[in-house]
Amino acid sequence: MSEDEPGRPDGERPDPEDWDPERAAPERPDGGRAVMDEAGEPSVDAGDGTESPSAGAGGRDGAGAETGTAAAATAGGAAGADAETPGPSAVSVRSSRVRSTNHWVGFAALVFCSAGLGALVRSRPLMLAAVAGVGYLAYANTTEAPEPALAVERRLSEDEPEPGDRVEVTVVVENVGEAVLPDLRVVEQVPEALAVTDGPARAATALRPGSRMTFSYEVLARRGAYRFEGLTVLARNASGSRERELDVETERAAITCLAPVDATDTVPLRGLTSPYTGRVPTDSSGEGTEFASLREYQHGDPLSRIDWNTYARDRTLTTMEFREERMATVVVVLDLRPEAYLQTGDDGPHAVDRGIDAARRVFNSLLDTGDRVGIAAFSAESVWLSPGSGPTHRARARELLSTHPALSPLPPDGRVYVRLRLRRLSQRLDDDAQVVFVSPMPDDTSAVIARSLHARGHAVTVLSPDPTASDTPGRRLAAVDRSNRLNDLRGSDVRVVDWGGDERLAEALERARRRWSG
Amino acid sequence: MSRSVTATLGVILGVVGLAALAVPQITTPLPTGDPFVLVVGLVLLLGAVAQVQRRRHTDLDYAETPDAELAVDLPTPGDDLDRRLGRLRLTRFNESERRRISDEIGDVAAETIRRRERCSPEEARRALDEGTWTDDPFAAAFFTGRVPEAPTTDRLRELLDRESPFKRRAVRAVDAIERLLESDDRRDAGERTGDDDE
Repeated sequence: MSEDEPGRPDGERPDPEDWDPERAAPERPDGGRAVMDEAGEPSVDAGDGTESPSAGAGGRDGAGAETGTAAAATAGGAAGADAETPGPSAVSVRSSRVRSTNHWVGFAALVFCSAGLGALVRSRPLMLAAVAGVGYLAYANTTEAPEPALAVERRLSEDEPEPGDRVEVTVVVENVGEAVLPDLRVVEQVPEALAVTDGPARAATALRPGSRMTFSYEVLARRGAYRFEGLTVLARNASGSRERELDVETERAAITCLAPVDATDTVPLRGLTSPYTGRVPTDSSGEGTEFASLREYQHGDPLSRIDWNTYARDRTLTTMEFREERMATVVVVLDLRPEAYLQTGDDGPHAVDRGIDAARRVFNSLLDTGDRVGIAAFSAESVWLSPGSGPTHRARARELLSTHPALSPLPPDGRVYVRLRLRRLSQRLDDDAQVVFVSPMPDDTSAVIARSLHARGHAVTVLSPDPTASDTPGRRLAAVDRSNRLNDLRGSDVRVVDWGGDERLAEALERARRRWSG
Repeated sequence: MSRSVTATLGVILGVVGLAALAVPQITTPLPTGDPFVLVVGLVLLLGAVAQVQRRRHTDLDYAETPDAELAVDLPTPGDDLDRRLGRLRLTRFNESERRRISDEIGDVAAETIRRRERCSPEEARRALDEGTWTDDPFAAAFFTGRVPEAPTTDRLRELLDRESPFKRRAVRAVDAIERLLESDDRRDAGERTGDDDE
């Protein structure tokens, strides 16, 4: 049923914004960064300073070049070292600020008190205590926070995890400067969408010149491409009175997490596309379809498709499958406006994640049934995969749905111009293309989108992951509001699949199909 | 006095003090009488008080480390209204905020009534204004603004409640709207099964 070609019909206009997985693929970390000698040592290693200079440091383009900190100088000096050992490479400082922590403010009260009482009662020990206090205050107020020169190496246990896998990130920080860092705190800049599941992504220690510390943590992989490229560094002087805060850029490490190749359950979509097109015959009536095969009966199959002959012969339920003779063109349109980024309660995947997952399943199921399928989105950046079929097309869609920056699990920063996107979309859609609009339907704009596509003559099916909850009055009202919105759409001939949070997509579709055929 | 001047003065005094350890005679020209020492002691104690005050008015200023471990937090639909209802207790007399909340709930209520009764939006609004849309007198009173037509004991109970009557009625109005929607859904489902039977 599927074709081998990417499925671009003749005469289709070339699109400058077409998704190109090659171009958009994120940078991979260096292949050569293998595990090094002291891998996994969670302790501070007081190195002797000779083995520490890193081989990669001198060769890293741009490392410390612009900022001109001590780190850059060290990186240059380290270039002559053993070229075989990959290790921490020097970081470049993006921003730096020094502040007084006010840690010792008020300590002078003790000094004054001790000296005052000493004078009043003529006590030498009290006077001497005050002298010691003065000495310490002088020390605390005259020392400055050290300027750390660091080299950092970051190792990922896996570059291309599956969604749900845990990826261990090991960070090695080395003091490549001349100065002792008496109080060094390092906080990893974990990509915002990733949650840390084990261990804090930070460490605090004192580092002598040339010594290293290693810490590691685990993140839960989720769909998308993520880059680890920054650290927040805090360095204080020994007394803690002054503090330097640095935002440093490290060598880049990336994980790319693609959705699984095969959907775990296929989605019963025949009812979704058939009755509207006029091109694709319905299978439930048996008209215009051609018998294809028999398969095992699954719960929810219509009675009319059960092969009763087989049942009479050996008492097993089998379902007849019909081949679709012609293809429909379906474009799955995602709602990625900031308003759509909603979540039921505090955990679990949010509505857009569920929507993208649903889009993937719908896409694959439609491809399996022989339809030509494309992808578009209402998002800050343009997202467009023109309808096609075949394994190459499937792979491109998988890549797009997993790693396109506009489909990130985080709400977009930019504004989404709905009118503009709607105009572009309707220019791109063939006249008889159907639309599956995947949106949690958070506001009236989403209903307007569905309606306008419907008004332009496209058969619209709204597939809506339900983000509402019912535990507080406000949430209940929002649920009623959304329910009214969906019912209104149903009233104006738009098909709606309301997909509850605790429901499988296949169940929701089956329920909707019964509603449509009822 | 600037910092450097005090520092210089301090260093000079320190040097003199250390020198006095070796050559005690150099301190003879300095006033060391009891009254003077008493005054110095009191001044120092005053200095201690001043330092305590300074500490009280100075906050520690450490860098805030970011919450790197937490994934992004997204709202659930309706959280905004919950927040505003919760805040209402603090802004007790904010009439315009109450009006906004009431309008917001009213819009959803009117829409639900319109769907349920299959009537025009104007009729739905009228039902809302007259309070004929629900059996719950308190929910109805939320939109009519009149005294709820309920037994005195119920009204007394409402008065004694910890929450303000506005918030309580808002919550009951939301409950009533939800019931209306549920009965509407049930009716739709009923009609559908009826169609199936035919």
